[in-house]
Amino acid sequence: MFIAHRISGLLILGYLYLHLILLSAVLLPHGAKHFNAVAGVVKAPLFIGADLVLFGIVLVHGLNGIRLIVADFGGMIRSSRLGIWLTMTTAALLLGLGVLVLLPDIVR
Amino acid sequence: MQVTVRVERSTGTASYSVDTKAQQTVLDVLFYIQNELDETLSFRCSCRVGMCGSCGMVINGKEGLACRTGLDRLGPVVTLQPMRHQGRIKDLVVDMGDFFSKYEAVRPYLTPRPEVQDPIVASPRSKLREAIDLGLECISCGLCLSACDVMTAVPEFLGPAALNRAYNLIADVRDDARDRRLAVVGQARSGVWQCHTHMSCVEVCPKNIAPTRAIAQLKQKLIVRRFMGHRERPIPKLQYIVKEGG
Amino acid sequence: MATEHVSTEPPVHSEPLQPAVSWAWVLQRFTAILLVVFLGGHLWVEHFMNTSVAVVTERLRNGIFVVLDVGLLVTVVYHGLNGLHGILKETWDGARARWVLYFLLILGMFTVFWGMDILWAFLYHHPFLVIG
Ligand code: FES
Repeated sequence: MFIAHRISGLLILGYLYLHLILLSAVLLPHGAKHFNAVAGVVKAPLFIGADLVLFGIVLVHGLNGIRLIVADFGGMIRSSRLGIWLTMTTAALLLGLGVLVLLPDIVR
Repeated sequence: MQVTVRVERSTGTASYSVDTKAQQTVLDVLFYIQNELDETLSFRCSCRVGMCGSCGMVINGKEGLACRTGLDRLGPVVTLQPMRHQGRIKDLVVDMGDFFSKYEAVRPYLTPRPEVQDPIVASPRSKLREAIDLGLECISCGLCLSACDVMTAVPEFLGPAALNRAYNLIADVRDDARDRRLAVVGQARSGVWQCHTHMSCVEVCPKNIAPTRAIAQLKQKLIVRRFMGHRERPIPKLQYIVKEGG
Repeated sequence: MATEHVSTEPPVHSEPLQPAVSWAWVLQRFTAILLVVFLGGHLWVEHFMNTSVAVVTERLRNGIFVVLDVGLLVTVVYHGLNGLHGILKETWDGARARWVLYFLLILGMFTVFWGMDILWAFLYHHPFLVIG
């Protein structure tokens, strides 16, 4: 879980820069005019699929992070297995919710 | 039951086939191998009942005391390795020097406060007792240090056992060396801030101690102290301490 | 029994030690909690509301969104780069770690400016720094 936390953290950091590059590639040279056109591309099924993967990674990192902060206050220290199980189930549920919400956009 | 015991020795992995009986422990099997099959096998033990902390090793990938690990739960192949992050002397015997010098670094002994004259009796159910009971059971077997993931990257890390001991004494109202101990455990490279709260130490401790909790408490103490400054601790009064639940 | 003392010299007798708090550690937890709020809000806003430029601009005119977006930007940059620093300094201690720290500090400031520039582009339809 510790390794997963690190890898997901690094992936999210990588995505942050990707996100900034994408936004500025669209916005900076041409002002805001081209943004809407690109916003259309970003709504392509492939992009939404990638978004969902990212959402999953963020959920794993975020929920595990909450578990670690709880441990810093002395919680769930003897039951870390249960904690991992709980947080990862929650992550899966929320990801499933995300899939449900975005499904109409993927299979149009 | 026929069990294959694979021992990671100094000379390479050795495999022994042993006919085990019900209720036998890993330590029993090691004795059998040494007596009947290969007298050159080295391992450490003393009490054989889980109270001296000599027989720690990595059993099927997880740290445990050989004398407290029954074979029934281990399956037909048992792999034995020496403890991790510690120098090896021979076979399953590791050099505990690093472990004990880390223990030493936190001053693992009570330094009495001069103003505390009366003997202090802490009832088993008092708050005071709860604070120190957390880690009094430690038998310094070193399993937690072996299981600690931080040690892989930061060998200077004081480790769960030493930090747990430090917390114990810091929480002890009779102790006078609190500041120096706090300074040691607050060090950037070797101190509590390195802990990943992975709780591997909690999982392997044969005495059910939770060093991660002690480390979390130490972090809180350091932070609170930074904000609130040093507060004088009242000299414990005998009545207060003896009172149940007080 | 201890054949040799392998470890760091035990700081038992080095007296001038002071109890030290790792502010980086504290801030990492603090930004983590903030991020749960900020990032949750960000995802919600960007995915469940219309995201055409006009709408984003309109939102940003409402000062609260500037505060939220800049807040998210700063916390995410700190949390991400400090996390990276934590990983790097485990392997590189000493002089090299200091250079890594300086590099990450500059990278962080650059990233915050970069992000603000993007916000600026949304607001005024042209970037502040890069002239297109
Ligand atoms: S021999 Fe004493 S703890 Fe195992």
